[in-house]
Amino acid sequence: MIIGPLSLGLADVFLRIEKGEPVSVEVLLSGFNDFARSLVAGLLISLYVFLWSLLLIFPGIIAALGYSMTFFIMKENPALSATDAMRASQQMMMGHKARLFEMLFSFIGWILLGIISFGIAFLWVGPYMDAAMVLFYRDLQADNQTYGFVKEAPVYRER
Amino acid sequence: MGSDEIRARAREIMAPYWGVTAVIYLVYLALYTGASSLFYVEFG
Repeated sequence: MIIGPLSLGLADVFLRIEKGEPVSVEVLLSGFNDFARSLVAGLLISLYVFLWSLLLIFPGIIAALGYSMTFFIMKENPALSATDAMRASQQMMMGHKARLFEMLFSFIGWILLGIISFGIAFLWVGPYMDAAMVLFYRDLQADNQTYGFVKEAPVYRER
Repeated sequence: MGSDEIRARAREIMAPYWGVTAVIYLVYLALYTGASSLFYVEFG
């Protein structure tokens, strides 16, 4: 029930970090302000990934990669419905799933560190991976400007 | 951008945020595991 709102809040946190804005726990909880839409997205993504996983594990992974940009798109496009954001994510990820998988797989050492530290290291590994995800999202936007409802990428800033 | 470049840039943008995001992740994981536990107690 709360995975959708929490995921939307987490997407907001990392979109703000990418812009250099301050973040707090309130930002994480901001997903609950858009409860219905984020709930629908969370439930549908969980359902679709589960159903694809029944075929074997790989279709489930491919589906999860395809929907991975949904909450970033929803946060930047408040007028977009949950299903449209999911469709936009699928379109955006077309031809890029292997690249995202490769990027996430490159965190394997950090994930193992998280496991052997009884999950404590995940408090830093998780944000690290989410920051990489938001940068991947920006990279996709810069690569592919064909989707009218997905905001254009901001000009790359050096800090 | 390649994986290495994205990871390097991720570390760069995260530099001022490691502390606050660890707290945010702790809250996220607490809420998520709490809600999952409740779900399994009710429907599991």
